[in-house]
Amino acid sequence: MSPRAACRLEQLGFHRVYDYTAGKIDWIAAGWPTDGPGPAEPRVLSAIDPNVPTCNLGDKVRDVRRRLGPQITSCVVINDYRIVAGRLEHLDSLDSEDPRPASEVMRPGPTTIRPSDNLGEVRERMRAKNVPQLLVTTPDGELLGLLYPD
Amino acid sequence: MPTSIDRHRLRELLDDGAQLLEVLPADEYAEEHIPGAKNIPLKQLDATTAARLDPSKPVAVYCWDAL
Repeated sequence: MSPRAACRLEQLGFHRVYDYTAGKIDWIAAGWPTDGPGPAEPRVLSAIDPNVPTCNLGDKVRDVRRRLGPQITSCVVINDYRIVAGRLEHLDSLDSEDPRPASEVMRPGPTTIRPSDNLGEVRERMRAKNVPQLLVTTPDGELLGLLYPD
Repeated sequence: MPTSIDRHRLRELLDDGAQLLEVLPADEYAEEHIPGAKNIPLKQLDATTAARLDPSKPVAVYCWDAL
């Protein structure tokens, strides 16, 4: 729809016309502010827990374990721009002196959801499939936080 | 030919004074829109309604998604 509107504006004499092709859903999914009362049903955005243990792709497993302590057994692996690359899981079962970088040990490509997703529907699916948590990212993959089923 | 942009470029344009236009129906605009956007639904976009915009300034247009 917006490409047609942009062409229409040019026909009407506008010379500098830009088409934000990805549209409003992309803006909302990035967690950027909007005006208006919002949707009738809440979005994931309203329930994100931003407190997520993270480490960088190049961080050594032994250093991650020391920094996070024994209570935390998994963390999200991100790059310098907070783009999600993978997850380090079962940290407590890894050698405390493991010299490998997180990029070699992580499980790549974890499931992610967008903050613009319908909160009720996502939580229903999480409960049905017994998913304890999901990563919430922008459409570009930038980590925003975690969503829990309850 | 209109220039396709992403949201980061859109923010830059808005900071530089560009106009923003949502072309979705009025009820969708009323529910939620990008701050600063005006609303002219696509089916109503003609010379009369477009007079609400300044043709001497850049204008960025958007709808719901890329589909």
